Amino acid sequence: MTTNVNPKQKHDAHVEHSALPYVVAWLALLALTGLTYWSSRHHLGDFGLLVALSIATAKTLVVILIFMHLREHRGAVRLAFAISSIFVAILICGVLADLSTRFPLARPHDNTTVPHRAAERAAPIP
Amino acid sequence: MEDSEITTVDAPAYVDRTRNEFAAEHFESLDQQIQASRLGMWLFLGTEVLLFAGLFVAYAAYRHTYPQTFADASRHLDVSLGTINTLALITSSFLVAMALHASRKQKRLQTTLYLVGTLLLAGLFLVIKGFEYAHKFHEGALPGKFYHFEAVQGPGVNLFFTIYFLATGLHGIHVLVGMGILTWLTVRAARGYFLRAPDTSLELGALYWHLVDVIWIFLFPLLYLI
Repeated sequence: MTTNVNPKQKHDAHVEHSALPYVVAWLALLALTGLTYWSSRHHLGDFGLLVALSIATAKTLVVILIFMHLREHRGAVRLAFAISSIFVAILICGVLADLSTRFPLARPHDNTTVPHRAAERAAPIP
Repeated sequence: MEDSEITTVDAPAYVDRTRNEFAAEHFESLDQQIQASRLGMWLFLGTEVLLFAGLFVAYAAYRHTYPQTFADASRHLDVSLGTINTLALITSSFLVAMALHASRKQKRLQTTLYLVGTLLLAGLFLVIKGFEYAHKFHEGALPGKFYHFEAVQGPGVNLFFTIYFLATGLHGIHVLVGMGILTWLTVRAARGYFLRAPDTSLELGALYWHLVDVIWIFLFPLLYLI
């Protein structure tokens, strides 16, 4: 009989290690929170945002991999979250790329110097 | 039933060859059912991330357009309250992970206590958030056209508080929903529900709570620590 069960995952509901990883993860998260706070008080200029986002990403990885057990899971479960994260990154990068490459038009709303538009303007309105 | 003869006395009742009898009819085995429910939850969490992504994109666009105003407005938020809330959510995330751990070790009392601790910290988070909101309402740091706070002025300043209230408000609704789920799980744990049958409700509820934590992990530096 065919099965959709991934053999690597069989009985993973029973696999339970000690509580140590959770405690370590918790302490790491507290330390990273302190680091975020510290870095924000020492004005790092343009790097401030980069540092803050890097620390937030590191904290998220700790939560996802250890608290949410993603390091024990394989396949589609990992893929689902990774893909949504990638799409968020694409969305934000696309919007920022648009905003940062805009420039004021030299002569907005002025058609007089464009030859074919000038001809249009000269033509009598039917 | 032949299978019951090989059940050992000290193992939990469901950890034996009869495990698959707990599976719903349309699943071949219990493992398949557990994986299906887990994948469904992760897909749902993916859509939750995309829901919040809209607000993060708006934040990125307006912060890019009004960098100085956003920095000024951010400095007006109470960083110490935000930090306490961050620590509360991180610790509650840890406690719910410990609750799941205890439940897999068949420890009923520990599971219940960890869940109660999670609930208390979630409540603390909302109470602190409530005080912050009350302060903002009082001084007029409100979204959109209702903004009338004299101390911070500049182009786009009301946009910062629009995003602040929308993002923390949507997150706060998620905290409320999470507390509802956690309350239900606490009652189940106290009644020993997780001892009797293999069940994914605690695992999936914990996943939801961790996501609430992850969203806040990004909101905190972006709003409070510009």
